[in-house]
Amino acid sequence: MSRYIKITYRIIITVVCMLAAAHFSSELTADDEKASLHEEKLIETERGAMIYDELPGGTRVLVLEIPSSPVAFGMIAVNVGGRYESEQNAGISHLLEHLMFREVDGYSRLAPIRETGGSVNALTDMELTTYYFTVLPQHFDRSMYSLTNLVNDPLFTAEDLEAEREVVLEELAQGMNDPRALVLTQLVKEIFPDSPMNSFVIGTEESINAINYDDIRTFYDTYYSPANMTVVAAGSLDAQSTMKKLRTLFERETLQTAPSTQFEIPEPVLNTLIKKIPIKQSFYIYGFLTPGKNSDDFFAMEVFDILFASGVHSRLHRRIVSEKGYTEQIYPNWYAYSNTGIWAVFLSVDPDDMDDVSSLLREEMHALKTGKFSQSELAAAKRALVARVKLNLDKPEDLAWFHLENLTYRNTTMTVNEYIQAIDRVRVEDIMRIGRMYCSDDRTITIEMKPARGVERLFLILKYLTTKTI
Amino acid sequence: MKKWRVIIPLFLLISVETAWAQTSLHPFNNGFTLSVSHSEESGLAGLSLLIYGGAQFETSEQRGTYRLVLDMLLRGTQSRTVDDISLSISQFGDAIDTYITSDYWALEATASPEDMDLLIELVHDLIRHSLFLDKELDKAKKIAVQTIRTNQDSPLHMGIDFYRAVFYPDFHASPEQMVDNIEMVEREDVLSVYKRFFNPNNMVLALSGNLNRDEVVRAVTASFGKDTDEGLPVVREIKRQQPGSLPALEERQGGITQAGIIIGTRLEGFDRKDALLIEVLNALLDNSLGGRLFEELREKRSLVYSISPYFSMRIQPYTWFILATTRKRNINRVIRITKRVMHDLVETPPGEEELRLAKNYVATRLAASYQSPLRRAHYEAERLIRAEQVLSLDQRFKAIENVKLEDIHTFIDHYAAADWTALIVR
Repeated sequence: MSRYIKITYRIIITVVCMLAAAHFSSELTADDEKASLHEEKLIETERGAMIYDELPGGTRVLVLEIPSSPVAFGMIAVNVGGRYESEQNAGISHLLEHLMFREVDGYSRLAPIRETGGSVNALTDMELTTYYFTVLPQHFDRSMYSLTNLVNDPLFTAEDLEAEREVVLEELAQGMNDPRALVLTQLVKEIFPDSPMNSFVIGTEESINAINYDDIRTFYDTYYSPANMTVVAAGSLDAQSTMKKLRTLFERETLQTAPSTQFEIPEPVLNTLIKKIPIKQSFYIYGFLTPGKNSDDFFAMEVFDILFASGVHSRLHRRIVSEKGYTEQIYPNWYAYSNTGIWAVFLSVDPDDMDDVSSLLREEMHALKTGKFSQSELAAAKRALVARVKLNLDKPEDLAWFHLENLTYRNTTMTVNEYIQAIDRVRVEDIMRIGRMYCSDDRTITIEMKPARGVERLFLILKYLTTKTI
Repeated sequence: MKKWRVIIPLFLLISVETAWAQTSLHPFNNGFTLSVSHSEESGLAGLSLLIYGGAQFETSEQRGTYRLVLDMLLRGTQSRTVDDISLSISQFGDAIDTYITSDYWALEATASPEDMDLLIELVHDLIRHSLFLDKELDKAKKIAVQTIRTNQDSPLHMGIDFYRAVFYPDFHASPEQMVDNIEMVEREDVLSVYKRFFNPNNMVLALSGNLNRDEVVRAVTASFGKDTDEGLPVVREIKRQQPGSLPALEERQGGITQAGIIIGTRLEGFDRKDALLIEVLNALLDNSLGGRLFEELREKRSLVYSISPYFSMRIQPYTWFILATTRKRNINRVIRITKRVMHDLVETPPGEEELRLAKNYVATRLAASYQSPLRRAHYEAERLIRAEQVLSLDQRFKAIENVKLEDIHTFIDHYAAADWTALIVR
């Protein structure tokens, strides 16, 4: 197709989308009466009005009005991800997400968003796959229309699958390029051999190569149903009218049931791993399985994270950075899912300091388990967490993710203030309970990666060249 | 070479009225400059304090050591212990950041509006009353060395180091050299850098966002405004990389499953005031899951997961480069096709339609960036520290709109047709 035909084609598609968006706006008047039959939930939040509704057909829709925002954000989330996969089809949710964006005859249906200058992207996680965009507020309607088309009516072909498989294999390779990451993926498979958690959403080279076109179409048909979707709009939008438009777009005559899922909680089969790899500094990982986002212990775990390792006033930071000056490369992460999660801290340290750092870490964990911390320390940790919440939940995009997670994992429309109140209720005994229940010695996992030198290093390089493992 | 103080030219000493916010400038007698803009796009406020100087002033024996000044600011003041400082930072949500670039040191933060007085007091204390104790310097040095060594384990950092070594050798030191330099640093060295640069006449503070203008001006007047101007004005020099030919291709070992590829060129004679030209051109090459590079390398050929153009405008001559990662078997194809895409810019220059799309993308990104009061504060502080005019959002939109097709074509003819250097970390 010549460049000029392409441009003409783009213009035609844009006009069609604009007309469709206009149509979907004009339908609203006729729909007003019908809309009033629904049980909308109107909530006043810190930033503006929020409306929540569950539509006939099962789609959940939430609109948050932030009048002062310069942009509007829209997302469609599907309840599917890495935990819905088997070892054989590991990575299929993510591969499907890539395929949804494949162009049709050289033209993407997302062009109407791009032409306004907006950004569009998607993210696949363990339990959610999310498609989203940011645009200037006046372009929200047609952008949401385009995104809905993309999610509800994929047009990818078997040839597209072959092309996108290569892109995903590049993404997989990018993630493994650092020797520490490569080894970590190998070790997690040893620790959780039978859990979908060990494929890190993206899958393996083998599983990605084994997925065929029929597999992926069936997967789409199973999970991409209205009852399995949540739609969130946030930003400089009128909440009432946007909700009406979204209802028009997502309402279905019949209620479908979402596919049922029961996630197993992984059980570690190993607790300690030591590995020599071709690096210069030692890399130490300490972690444990945590309560999930739907647990009553969720907020206590949030505070525990701050007290223990997250932030410059955490116990680990004070001991390792401020007092000893061992390293600043301390990266605590909490990957929380519905009914479980993995908390881990990654430290890069001088090999000579590894034992000291390990001892300090265990000392501090022991202190938390046994309640050897003051009320004022707990209060400071809660204040720090609340400050973070306020900073991190300001933009429409961040608030949209916040409400999506609340709906998905906690089935609630809680506001930021209610979230903060829940943090404030955490007590010393909650922290001690987290320590005892989740971080007992037999439940914690440590991984030590030490520098291989000389012949060892050469051997590892040769091993990688022949087996693709270290 | 001329003597230079961060004195704001008269034409900048006006309030910039915009539909979004009003920026006012407050120069103090001691040479300190404050910029304040109130806006309500966000519920937060941002603070950006920049100190002119930065890594470009390091001699080869000092390379990698100027960063230590910032580290030491967090290691005790006359009224705060290290623990007090970390507690204060955590109470601001751990959103206080310090870093050094080629042309300034930065201390930046985001906070709730009601905390701005406290934040200003803390930042002032850190900047003006640090103790620079020997025992704390030892820890800061150890951590700095450890960070450099950790970066040697990261393929990404290997790529960054490679790029600097090739494009800016006069300003580069190897990780080993930097470790040696840091280990030699003594308290007097850090203090001497501090005394030379960290003076009111060499600093700009920008506050932006949902704040009370009168209150923050009062707080800054009572703190930074009262500092004595003890330092001599910093001599401002235009630092340049000495001319020298660039290799067509150079390789380093590093990485496991992929190769990092940097394909770049120097922008000899390019003026930073025209940076928007490259921003628009980069959007044309790579935008939201689209653009010429993205389409050719990812959509059509599945050779990369990510490929993006960048530019660096800190040390002259500036550079324009493409960064890609790919599996090792694809290296040659990625280089060949990327170079072809750049040459195609000359053969098939963009038309008005393609330019319009790119401009829309840059404009929307700009609007989205105003969600962050810190991004806005940083923009204002950076413009002021470089003695460049602060534009309102409307003016910035207009500047994007004013990028002309013929200027893009001239730029392409001048630079896109150049012989590009390819660096590979494999």
